[in-house]
Amino acid sequence: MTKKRNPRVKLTVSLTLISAILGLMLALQYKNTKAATEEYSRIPTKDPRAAYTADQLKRIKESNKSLEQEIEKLNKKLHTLVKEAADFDKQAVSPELRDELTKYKIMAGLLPVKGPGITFTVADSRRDASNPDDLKYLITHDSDLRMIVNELLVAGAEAVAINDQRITTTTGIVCIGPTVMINGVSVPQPFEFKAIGNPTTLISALENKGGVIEVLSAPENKRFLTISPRKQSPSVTLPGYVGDYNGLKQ
Amino acid sequence: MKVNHRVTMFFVSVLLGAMLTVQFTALNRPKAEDVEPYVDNLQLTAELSQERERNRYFESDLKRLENQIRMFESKSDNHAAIAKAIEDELAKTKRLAGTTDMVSNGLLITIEPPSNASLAVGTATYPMLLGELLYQLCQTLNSNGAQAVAVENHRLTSLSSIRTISEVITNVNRTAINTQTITIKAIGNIEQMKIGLNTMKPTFIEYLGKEIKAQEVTNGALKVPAYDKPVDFTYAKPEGDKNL
Repeated sequence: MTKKRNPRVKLTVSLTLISAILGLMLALQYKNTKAATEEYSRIPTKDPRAAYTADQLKRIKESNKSLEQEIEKLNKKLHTLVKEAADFDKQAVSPELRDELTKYKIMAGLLPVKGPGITFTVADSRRDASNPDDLKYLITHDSDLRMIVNELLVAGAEAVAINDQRITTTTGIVCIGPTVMINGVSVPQPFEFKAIGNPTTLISALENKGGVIEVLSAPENKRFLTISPRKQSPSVTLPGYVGDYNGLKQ
Repeated sequence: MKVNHRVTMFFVSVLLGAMLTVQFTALNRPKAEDVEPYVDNLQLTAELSQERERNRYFESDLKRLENQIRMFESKSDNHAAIAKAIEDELAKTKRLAGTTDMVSNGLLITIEPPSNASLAVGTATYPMLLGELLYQLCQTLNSNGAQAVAVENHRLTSLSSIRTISEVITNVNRTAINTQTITIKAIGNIEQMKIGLNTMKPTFIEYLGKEIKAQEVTNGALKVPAYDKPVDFTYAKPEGDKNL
């Protein structure tokens, strides 16, 4: 009689244990699923029209990017043809004329240029704002970028670009809402600066006591922007500007 | 009994399987941070319109460059034609570089002590340098369609800087200017430049106690002089060139 009861008891105990564990797992599963559903419902649903517009915007930006590269290639080709014309017949096309054209093309920002200089990036602070009023000190403003560009030019920079947007006669660096616009193009952070000039002079100008780097990153100024170390390079390349100079080029 | 056991085991397995499936799908559900943020369609449409305009401009500029290159290649034996083309190109380039006078419609802007003397002290709790604000004003004009800007007849170009040295000295293109009343000439889209200017007026009053006044010049007679400093590039060379 005992032998017959023992297996039944064992089975009952096992099944009870399994049911208890299953019940626990069910409860946990229900809780997790509920939490996941609540999180998902907080995600704002995308406007299908906005999704379509965003897709069109992405395509046209890609097309514009490749047109810009094509224009830059043709500008370089034109420059080469002018050089060859001057090399071939110095009487008809004097080297002085050729050199004048090159010089003003560099000044206008039409030609991509290369030379010794510096590169560095500026980005928003990595700190969390202790209160909402402090947020403005932690983000990169258009005024910060202008300050740096101005300082580089005072220090003799011959060409400057931010995120490959070349500084020209008609460049505007402004904020439209939360977005920085340079040459009419929206430019996201981090902001990569490239400048061609005497590297030592450029770095000294930025790193002077009370200078721009200190103003933008010293705790006592309440600015904590993330500024990478200024890197000297014997060869910094800046692209040409391909815009229309506010209609002046047409 | 045996049948009961099997039935019980069957239901337990089904339940376990269902739980595993639900857990798997919950794990693979997109997280909040993986979903693109909601973007206003109006903002996207405005950006799309801007990019379409750029696209039109790029297409036309590409055609212009291709024609120019074709002309150079086809007239490679006609050196007089090539020389003329290069001279024309030089004239256009100097215009873009800011090294020629420009005469057209635009705004004649003055920054002066305010008509209401009580505003003359400025109200900000920290000082704002004149140079910084002037630079911001010129960049705002550029972002609003200015084609040529001069501060106290010093033309702004890609090499220009504006710097306040002291309370009484502000340099534009490394030349000190009169800071009592500052004159800025700007050729370009008058209506658009006025919109940009209006955003700067409160800032000048608040930080410098100075008023911005603008007069429209629509008879084509506003002259913005050429950049007058020597231009020489010691470091910057065209990419791919061995020497200038």
